[in-house]
Amino acid sequence: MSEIALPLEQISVRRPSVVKTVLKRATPFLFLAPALLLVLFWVYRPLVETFALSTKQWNMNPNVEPINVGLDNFRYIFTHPDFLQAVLNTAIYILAMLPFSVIIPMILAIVTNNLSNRAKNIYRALFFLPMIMPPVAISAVWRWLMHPVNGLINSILIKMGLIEEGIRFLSDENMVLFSIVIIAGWKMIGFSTLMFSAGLTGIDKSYYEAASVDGHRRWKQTLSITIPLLSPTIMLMIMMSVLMTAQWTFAYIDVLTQGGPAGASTNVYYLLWTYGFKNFNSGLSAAAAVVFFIGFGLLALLFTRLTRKIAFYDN
Amino acid sequence: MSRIILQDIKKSFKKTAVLHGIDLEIQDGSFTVLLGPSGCGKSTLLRIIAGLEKQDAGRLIIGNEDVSGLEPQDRDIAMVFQNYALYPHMNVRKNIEYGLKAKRVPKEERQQRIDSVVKLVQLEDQLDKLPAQMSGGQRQRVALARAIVKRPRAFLMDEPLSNLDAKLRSQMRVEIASLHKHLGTTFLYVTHDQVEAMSMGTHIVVLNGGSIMQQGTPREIYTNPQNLFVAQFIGSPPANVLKFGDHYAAIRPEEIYFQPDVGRRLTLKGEVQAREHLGGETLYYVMTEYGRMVVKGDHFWDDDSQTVQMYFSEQSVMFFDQQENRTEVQPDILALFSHNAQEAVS
Repeated sequence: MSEIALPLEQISVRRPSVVKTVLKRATPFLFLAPALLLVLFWVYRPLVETFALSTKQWNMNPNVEPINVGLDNFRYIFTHPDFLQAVLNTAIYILAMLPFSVIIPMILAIVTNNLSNRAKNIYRALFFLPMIMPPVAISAVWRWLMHPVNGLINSILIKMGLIEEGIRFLSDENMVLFSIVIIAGWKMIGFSTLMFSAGLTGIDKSYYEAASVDGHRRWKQTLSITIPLLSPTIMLMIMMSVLMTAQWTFAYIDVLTQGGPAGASTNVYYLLWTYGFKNFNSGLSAAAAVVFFIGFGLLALLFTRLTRKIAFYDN
Repeated sequence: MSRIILQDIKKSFKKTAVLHGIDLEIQDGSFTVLLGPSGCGKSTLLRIIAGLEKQDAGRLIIGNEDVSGLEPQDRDIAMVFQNYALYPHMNVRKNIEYGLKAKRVPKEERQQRIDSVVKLVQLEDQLDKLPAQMSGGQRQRVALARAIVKRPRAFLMDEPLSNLDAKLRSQMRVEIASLHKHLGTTFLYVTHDQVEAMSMGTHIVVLNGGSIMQQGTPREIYTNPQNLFVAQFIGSPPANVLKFGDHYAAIRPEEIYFQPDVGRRLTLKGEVQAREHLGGETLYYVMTEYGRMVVKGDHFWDDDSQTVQMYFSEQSVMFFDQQENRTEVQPDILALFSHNAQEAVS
């Protein structure tokens, strides 16, 4: 090794000042601050308050002090049949929603993907249209479509001779849940199709060219290339659907059935809303919210794990 | 193993014509290289042969079968893509096996064929890896294995080496050429790199602007260019072109010397403007009274003389007419150089 002789006494070391260092480190946090403060105020503060409220009894009257009731609210929830029915209904809602949020949109996206750009855009606009319509207006139209006596669906079915008298779509306790799913699902198809279409454009065309030269027909290419490479989108849409179906159906339940008949169409969010804003029992509502928060949180965790295992990301 | 015959293949994208009626016969078992600058239509031609693009007009025959209207699935060819197009979610074995499944090859035979092909491309220990876990060179081998295992009538390769670094590229050049010898199947290889074309091809087809400029063996293409484009495209650096009235004279840089010798009866004086030392040889950029010329010569690291005398033979000068096509020897132009020679002697 060769040594370089340095006249050490001539070398001075310069360091930045402490103030400068602190400012430099703080800069990224300052940029984040507005967003962080908003999230803290609008998401985490209510969350903490909900946890606190779940152990209290309070009718939301500002002049009344909340009473501490310990875990009574939770005891009530778990022993009350309302809650169990809402959870069961929610599970059925979720399962019934999957065709509308995953299967049908995926097929629509794949089928329309090879159309010319113009036709593709027209189809996608048509699919997306329900997404931008307000739920209350949608409810009004579907209420008429599904009317047991004058509804378009029933009169068509009767004219075709398929049924003798009108189906009570929104008042038959065996029908009502699926009627709500059809309405909410009809609205969701557009959004999901858009997500799947975006997923499809991310797949390199050359895989299909290679598969064609390899001798595989289009349907086989769909099974062995498209669907595996769409797996991140599929998992995302399943996860969204599972976590959000209860929210997506809320508006239609509220406008069309109020959870009835006899709780046949209620779900977990509608139940906690009923506790809070119909029965004015905000403690009970908060306790239900805490239970659902933990439940859906665990589901979300499970799905992110599952996605990491199953989904294939093509970088 | 099959010949490929193209008859008057035409193709336009929107209103831009990319192929102006290509007639070509690719001989059975040949290693034919489609060579040309980017945008010359060589990749489009290859994709038409594969069936990935539809020709606007013309016939395409593979073996004794007119495949003009067939889908790629039915053409029994294999293709190696520029970006390899390996199925990213399948491991090496599945990537190679995928084409055999379409052919309904029984499982045992599939296994056998995969085993022998991975040995051929030296991937025996990589079968369970995903493409993303492999280097560019390894992916290249998987792409080759995927093509070879199908035992197709012909291999189509679309710039398969352009994504590799220079060292790997020269290694793969040798490997692909020896693969062709080993398999004996028709190879059709698209590239813009004339080194690949010269070193690998048994036949070269030079394309420019959607038309064939010249076809022949590498030797014919190099020693006997039919037009100015080929003379200026082949060779590194390409031939020097000097304009004399309505004719062009072209001389290859490696056929110009700084020393007189028997047979080097022509000469030209010039000023060295720049030198590029490449190690084994040096490129000299020399300005003459007829224009700038490049000379490929031995390296003289310490020589920095400005004025040089260049010597070359009469046979090394190629002539082209105003339409840039090869033409007969122009004695009056040669006379200009020999006149100089006398001057140099005196």
